[in-house]
Amino acid sequence: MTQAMSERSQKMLPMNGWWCVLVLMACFCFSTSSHAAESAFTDAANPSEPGITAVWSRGLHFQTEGEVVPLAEDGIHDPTNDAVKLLQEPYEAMAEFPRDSQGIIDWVQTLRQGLIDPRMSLTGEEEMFPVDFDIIFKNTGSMPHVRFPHLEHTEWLTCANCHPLIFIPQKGGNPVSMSAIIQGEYCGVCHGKVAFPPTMNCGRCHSVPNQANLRR
Amino acid sequence: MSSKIKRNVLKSMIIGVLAYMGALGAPQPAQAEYADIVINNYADAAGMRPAVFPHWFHRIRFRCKVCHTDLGFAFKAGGNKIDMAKIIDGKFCGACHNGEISWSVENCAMCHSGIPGQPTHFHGSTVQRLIAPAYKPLQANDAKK
Repeated sequence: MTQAMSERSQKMLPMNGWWCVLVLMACFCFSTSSHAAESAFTDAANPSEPGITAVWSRGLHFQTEGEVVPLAEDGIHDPTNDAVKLLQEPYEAMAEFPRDSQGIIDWVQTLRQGLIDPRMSLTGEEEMFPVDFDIIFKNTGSMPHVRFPHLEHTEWLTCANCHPLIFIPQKGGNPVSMSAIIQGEYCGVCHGKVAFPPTMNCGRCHSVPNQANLRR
Repeated sequence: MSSKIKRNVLKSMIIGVLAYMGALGAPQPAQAEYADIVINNYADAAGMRPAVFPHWFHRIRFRCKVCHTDLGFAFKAGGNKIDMAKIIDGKFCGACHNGEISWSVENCAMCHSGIPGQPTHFHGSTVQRLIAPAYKPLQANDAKK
């Protein structure tokens, strides 16, 4: 009996499957056309930026996905607040910034190419003290090892920002794991909040070939 | 028997398609910029809109170190217990927003620009997307202090 049922349902499934595919395609066409309408609306809202292709954002961001949403429509700014119109729009400021292989704004390159010149103190009279040495984390399982470059970080931060509260300054003294990072500890204090997220570009940290993999 | 199975398959597919179309029409999550912070420690209770802090705007103009070392901002959204008295006193935001380095506190609505009733949160953070609200960021470091 059960065999007969499964045979019958198998016979029926292809037909219903096609029907389902057709409906889904129709839905897809509907959704893309409505997206186009929305993006046209966003363009119309910002006639001063004709070069920017406005795309309906799926809860994503200009910095990480290149998606453009005016501040007044971004879901956290109050559109009834007139002062929001005075604020700079993200795409006005960041449209030209270089992006990494995953399309996320590469702030290190932005700084090095001189596109921005952020002050090193309130009045801009102090200097940074960049430190150039790398830490290689080798406890990465089957993933490529992680190179932590002090140089890129000390162009933005001082030692005291990370040491000793986030990382104790001792080799191997910090049990960093992806789980901890995604929960906002260690690297995750910044990566996943303001720096590029740990869920989007593995290779930017896991950049050193893992000998255990090469031998296979 | 066969018609019953057919009906079930049809019913489940119709429910699926309706759910798909419903999801398309459902309100989208907030699309604010990565690392925007809504700070609502005291604002709602005081009848103000919550303050919105755009990280991207500030990091174009200042290195991280200026606020997070020189001005003493902790790496935690809402963790600095900023109120207007401290700002007018020249602490935290008030170190720049004093009419000298940047515009001053008279421009209430430029900071207090958020939709009322939002909780303090770090917009677009991995913790918020994958783990919150169960997880309280930086708790371990708070204990160390």
